[in-house]
Amino acid sequence: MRGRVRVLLGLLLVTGGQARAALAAAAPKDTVTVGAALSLTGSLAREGALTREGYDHCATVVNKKGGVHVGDRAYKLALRYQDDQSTPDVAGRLVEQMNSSGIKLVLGPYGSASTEAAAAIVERNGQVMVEGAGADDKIFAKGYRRIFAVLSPASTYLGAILRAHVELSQDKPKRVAIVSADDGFSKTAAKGGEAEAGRQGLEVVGVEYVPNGTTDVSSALTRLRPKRPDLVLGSVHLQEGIAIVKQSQELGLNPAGGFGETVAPATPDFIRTLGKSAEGVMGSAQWTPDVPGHDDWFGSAADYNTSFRAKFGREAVYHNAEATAACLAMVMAMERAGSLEPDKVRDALAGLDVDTFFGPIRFDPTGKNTAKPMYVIQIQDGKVVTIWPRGSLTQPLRPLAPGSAEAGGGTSPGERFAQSTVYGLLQGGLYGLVGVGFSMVWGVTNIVNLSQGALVVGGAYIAWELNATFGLDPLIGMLVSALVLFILGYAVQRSLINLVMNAPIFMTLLLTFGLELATVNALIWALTGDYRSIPTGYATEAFAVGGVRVPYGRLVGFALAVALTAALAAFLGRTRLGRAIRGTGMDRGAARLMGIPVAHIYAVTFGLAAALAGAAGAVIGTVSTFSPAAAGGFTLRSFVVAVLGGLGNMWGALAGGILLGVVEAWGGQYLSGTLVNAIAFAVLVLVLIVRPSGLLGRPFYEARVEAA
Amino acid sequence: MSALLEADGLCRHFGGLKAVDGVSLTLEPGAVVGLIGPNGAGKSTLLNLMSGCERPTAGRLLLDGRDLTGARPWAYARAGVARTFQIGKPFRRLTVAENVTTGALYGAEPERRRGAARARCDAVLERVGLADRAGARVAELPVAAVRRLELARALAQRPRLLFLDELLAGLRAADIAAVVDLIRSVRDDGVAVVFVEHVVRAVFAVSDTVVVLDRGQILAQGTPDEIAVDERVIGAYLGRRHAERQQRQQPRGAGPEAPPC
Amino acid sequence: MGMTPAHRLGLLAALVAVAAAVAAPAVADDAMLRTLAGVFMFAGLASAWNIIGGFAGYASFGNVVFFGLGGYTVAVLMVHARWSFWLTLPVSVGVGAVYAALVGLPVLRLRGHYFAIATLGVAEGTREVVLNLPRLTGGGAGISLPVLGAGAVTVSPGNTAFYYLFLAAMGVAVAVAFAVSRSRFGYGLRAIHDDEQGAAATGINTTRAKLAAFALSGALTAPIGALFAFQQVAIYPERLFSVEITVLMVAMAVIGGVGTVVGPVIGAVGLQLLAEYLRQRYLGLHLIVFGSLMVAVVVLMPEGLVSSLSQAWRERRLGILDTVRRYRV
Repeated sequence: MRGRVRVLLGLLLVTGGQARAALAAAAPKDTVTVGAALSLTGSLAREGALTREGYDHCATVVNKKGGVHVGDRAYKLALRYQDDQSTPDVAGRLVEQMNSSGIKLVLGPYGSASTEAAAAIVERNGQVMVEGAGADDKIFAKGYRRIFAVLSPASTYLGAILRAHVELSQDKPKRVAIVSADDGFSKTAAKGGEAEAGRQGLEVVGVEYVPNGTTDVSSALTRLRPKRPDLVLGSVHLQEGIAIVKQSQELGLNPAGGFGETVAPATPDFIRTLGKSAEGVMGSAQWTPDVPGHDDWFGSAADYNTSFRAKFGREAVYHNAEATAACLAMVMAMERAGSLEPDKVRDALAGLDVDTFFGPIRFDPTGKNTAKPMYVIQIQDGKVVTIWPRGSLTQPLRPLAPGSAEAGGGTSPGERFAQSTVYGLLQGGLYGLVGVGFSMVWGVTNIVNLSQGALVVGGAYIAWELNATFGLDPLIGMLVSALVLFILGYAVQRSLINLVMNAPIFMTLLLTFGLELATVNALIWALTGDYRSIPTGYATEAFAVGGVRVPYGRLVGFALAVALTAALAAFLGRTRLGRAIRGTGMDRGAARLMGIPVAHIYAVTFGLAAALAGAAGAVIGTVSTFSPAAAGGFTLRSFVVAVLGGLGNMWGALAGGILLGVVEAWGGQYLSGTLVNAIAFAVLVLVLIVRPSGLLGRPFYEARVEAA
Repeated sequence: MSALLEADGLCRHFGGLKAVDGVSLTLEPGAVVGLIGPNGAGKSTLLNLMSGCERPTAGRLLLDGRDLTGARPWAYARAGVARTFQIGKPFRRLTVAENVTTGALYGAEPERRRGAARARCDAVLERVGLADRAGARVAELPVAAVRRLELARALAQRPRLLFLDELLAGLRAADIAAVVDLIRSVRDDGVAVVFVEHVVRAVFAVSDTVVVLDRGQILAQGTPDEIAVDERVIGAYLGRRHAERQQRQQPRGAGPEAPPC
Repeated sequence: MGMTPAHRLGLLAALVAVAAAVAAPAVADDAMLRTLAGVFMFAGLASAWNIIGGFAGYASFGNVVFFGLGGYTVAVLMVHARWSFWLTLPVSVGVGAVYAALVGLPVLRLRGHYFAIATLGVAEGTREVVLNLPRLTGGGAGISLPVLGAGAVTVSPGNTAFYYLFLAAMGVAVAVAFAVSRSRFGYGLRAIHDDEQGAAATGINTTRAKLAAFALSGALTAPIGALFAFQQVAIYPERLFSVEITVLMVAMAVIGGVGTVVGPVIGAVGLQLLAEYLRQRYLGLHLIVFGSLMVAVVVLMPEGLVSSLSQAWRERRLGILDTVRRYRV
C-alpha cells in the first residue's frame, strides 16, 4: 500500500518535468512569449474572457504589423494563458510557474484581488507585469517597482461622475447617497467618491454597504429612501448595479439626478438586462470609442472599435480596450528598450509617455497611469454615450425627464418596517419554491442534492433563451424549463445516483457536488458567465399600499410559489404515484415488497424536484438577475428551508422559506445590509441545534426504517 | 450490603404508551434471571433502562448502592454492565478480534494498552469458541457467530452484570446448548445475568429466577418450577402444553436438555 | 512485532517517499515547490479531516472554518498586536481546538446529513462574521500580513522554506492520525462510526470522544491555515473560508480511502496533480472534466481508491461491478 505513494511521487516528478518542458519548448525561435493568468472559470469568467479577447486582438494586430521590433530583429508575439479560476492564490501560483518556465513578462489577471496576488510574486521574482484590470489603489501603495497599470485607479471612479454632474448639470445635485459592495476595490472607489463630494461641496447623506455579488440591495435602498438623495451612486459590480436600478424602481426611489455607477453601465449586459430602466444612468468608463488618442498600431479609439468588431463581431467594451492597452504598453516598452530583458523593459515602461487609442499612458513612480482621465458615460436611447470630459466626440448630459422624480422620502419607521416585511415575504416565497423540491428529495431518498442551485440556474437559462429567441413570456417558459429539467433529473437519478444509494453519505454528497461542478462550469463554458435577467414590462412595476410598494413581478412569483406547493402537496397526497413516493420514503423495503418499483420512484422524485427547481429559476430570472455563480447561494438557502420546515413537509418548506425571507429582510434593515447571509446561516445552525426535526412543521419521515 | 443492581419503580412512558410501568427488581452477584413475556411486554425496554440505553420516565436505578438513574450508557458500562442487542450491533467494519478488543479497552475493567487488551480478547475468543475466526470480518460471519461475537465483546468488558437480549433466536439446538453452558460458566464467575428469551426451555434450564413481564408490569416472579405452573403466566404467555412439559422435566442441573418437541 | 512482507515493503516505500520529499528542493524549481507545497497543504487538511470524518464517521462539511480562523488569527495578531508569526502559530492551534470544542458541543449531537449541514452552516456563518468586522479583519477588502518590506513583523521566508513548513505540517497531521488509529482512542472512534449506540453500551464516552476528535481535527487544521496566510500575504474571507476547500479535502480523504491513514495523502496527491494536469490541458473545460471524474470515481469506487485497490489486490480481480451492485438501490 505504501508503494503506491512512491509510485505517485515518481509520477509527480515526471509529469511536472514534462509540463515544464512543454511550456518551455513550445515557442519556436524569434518569438517572445508573454504570460497571462486569467479568470477563465469561476465568478469572474465573463470578464476574464473579455480580457483575453483584448490581449488576443493586440497580439493579432502587432504580429500583422511585423511583430515586436527589438533592435534589428522582429519577434512574433505569443501569449500563454492559464486559468486562475478567479482565485487569487492560484493566480500567484501560475505566475510563479511562468517564472520557472522562463516567462518573465506578464500581463495582468482580471480583478484587483488576483492582480494584487500576482503583483507580489512578480515583484519578488524580478518579472515585469503590465495590467489593465486591477484598479485598487492599494496595489500601488506597497512600493512595487515592477507593476504598471494602464487604467485609472479606483479612487477616481465616482469622483469623475460627481465632477461631470457639477460641470454639466443644470440642477446640480446637493444630496448624494452611496451604495457600495464590501470588496476592496468598491470600498476604495466609495471612499474616493466621498472625498470628491467633500471637495465639490456636496452632502453625502448616507453610505450603505451590501454583500459583494448580491442581487438584493433592498435593505440599503429602504434605508436611503427617507434621506431623500437627489443622486444615488453605486460603487458596485454588475449584479448589484442592476439590482440598484431595478429595486429602486420597485421601492419608489427616484432621485432627480438619477444614478451613477462605477463599473456596470458601460457594459452591454447592463442595458440588455434593464431595458428602458437603464435610460439616463451614468457610469464610469476607462475607455469608450469616443475618447481622444491615437497610436500607430490601432489608430484612434473608433478605429480600434472597428477592427475589434471586424474580428469578434461585436462592439468593443472597456474590458477589451484596457487589456489591449496593457499589452500594447508592454510591446512599446520592449521596442523602446531595444531588449527583452525584464530590467530594461521595466525601465522603458517607467519612462513611457505616449498617446494611444486608449488615451495617454504615463506612469507615476508607483506604477499608476495618472495621465489618463476616467471617462463618464450616460445611457441615452439604449446606447452608451460619452459625456465627460468634454471633447470633440462627447454628447451633452441628458437630464432625467421632469416629473419622473418622486419625493421618495419621509417614510415613517412603521412604513419602513412594513416595506421590509412585505419585501421579505415575497422574497421568502421564492426561497420556499427553490427549497420545496430539495426537501422532498431529502425526505424521500435521503439524498442531499448539492446541485440544487445549478438546477435552478439551468431553469433560468432555459426560460431566458426561450424569451430571447422566441419572445416567449417567461411564465410559459417556466413550464418548458420544468419539463426539460424533469427529464434531466429523472435521467440523472436513474443512471447515476441510484447506483450509490446505499453508500455512506459523504459519497452521495460528493457525487452531487461533482454534478454541480460539472453543470455550473458547463453553463459558463456554453453560455458565458454573464449576468442575465428576463425583461418583462410589468416585473418591476409596483402598486402602493400606503407608503409600502408591492412589486408585481415578485407578487406573481409568490403566488406561483404557493400554487406550485399546493399542487405538489395534492399530488403527493391524492394520486397513486404520489402515495407510492411517500411510501417508499417511509420504508423502502416494504415498498418493494408491495411491488413498487423503487428505482423508478426515486427517479420520479428527483425529476419532480428538478422540475420545481427549474420553475423557480424561471421565476427568479424574471424578478432578479442570475448567473452560474449564483447557484451556490440557492443551494445554501435550500438547506435552511428544508430544515426549517421538516424534511418532506411541503407546506413546511414554503413556510420556512417565508420565515427566512422575512428574517433576512429585517436583519438587513435593522442590523446591517452585509449581515444578510450571516443571518441565514445563524438561522440554519440554530434550528439544527434546537429542533432539527423542523421549526415550522414536523418532518414527514419521522423514523426511517433501514432498507432491505 | 446492597444488592448489585436495584431497580425501583421503573417507568418508561412514550406519551400515552406505558412500555414499562413500575417495575422493581434486585440482582445479586451470580444470580441468573430469565425475563420472559409476550411480544411488546417491555422486556427489551426494561433491559435498555437497566443498561442506561434509555432514560426512565420515573423510578430509580442503583448499582452497588450508587444512584445511576438517568446516567449515560457508558456510565453503566463503567459500573459493570455489559449487554448484547436484539438487533445485532457488532462493529461491522471491524474484525472479530477488533470488536472484542474494543470491549476490553473500554468496559468495566478497561485495559489502557492495546497489547493487554488484545491478550484478553484472545482469552475470551478462546472461551467463546471463536478463536479460529479472530481475523474474520463481521460481514463474513453466519448469524450464530455474530451472536457469539457480541457475547464475547460483552464478556471482554469484564462485567459484573450481563444482559442478553434474545441471543438464542433462530439458533440450532447445539448452538443453544453451547450458549447455555457459557451462561452457566459466567454465572460461576460471579456475574449476574439477565436474559430475555423466547426459547423458554433454555430459560427454565438455567435461571434461578424467572420474571414474567406483561404490558410493562411484572406479572409473576419466581423459580422456573413455580412460573411454569402459574396460571396467570400460562394464560398470558406459556400455554398449557408448556406447563405440562415442564412438569415432566428432570430436576434442574442434572443432565442434558430434553430434546425439542 | 511481526511484520508481514507487505508491511515491510510499505514501510520501505514510505521511507523512500519521505527522503524524496526532503531532498526535492535541491532539484525542483520554484513553481514545482509551490505546487508540491499545495499538495502537502491539502494532504494535511485531508488527514486532519479524516480524524473526525473518516475514523469517527462524522462527515464534517465545515472544516475549512478552522483553516480560515487559523489564517485570520495570525493575520489579526500580526497586524494589530505586531506579534511575530512564530508566536501566533501556536495561538492558532489553540483557536482551532477551542472553536471546535465550542461548536462541537451542540453540533455533534446531530447525525449524518444534519451534522454535515450544520458544520457547513457554521463555516459559512463564521465567514460572514469575519466579513462584517472590517476594522478587525479588513472585511471584504481582505487583510495583508506585515511580512514584506520595511514594516515587516516577520519577514516572509522563500518558497523552499514554505515547502518544508507545509511538509512538516502534513507530517504532523499524518503522524497524529497514525497515532490515533493505533490507540485506544482510535478504537473508540471506529466503534462510534460503526455503531454509536453499541459503542456507548461498551463503555465508550461517545460525547467526549467525538468532541476530542473534532477538537483534534480543528487543532491540526488551523495552523495549516496560518501557514497559508503567511504564504499568501494578502488574504480574503471568500478564499480562506471557501466551501471549495472543504469539498476538496473531503473528496481527497474519501477518494483516497476514508478511515485509513495513508488514504488522504494519496487522495491529495492524486487529486491535486489531476487538477493541475487538467488545468493545463483543458484550459476552459478543466472543471467540467474534474467534476465528471469525481462523479465517475464515486460511482465506481464508493469505498475509496485505497480500499478498492487493496481489495482488488487481495482477490486478484477488479470487481467494479460488484461494488456497484452492493451499493445500488
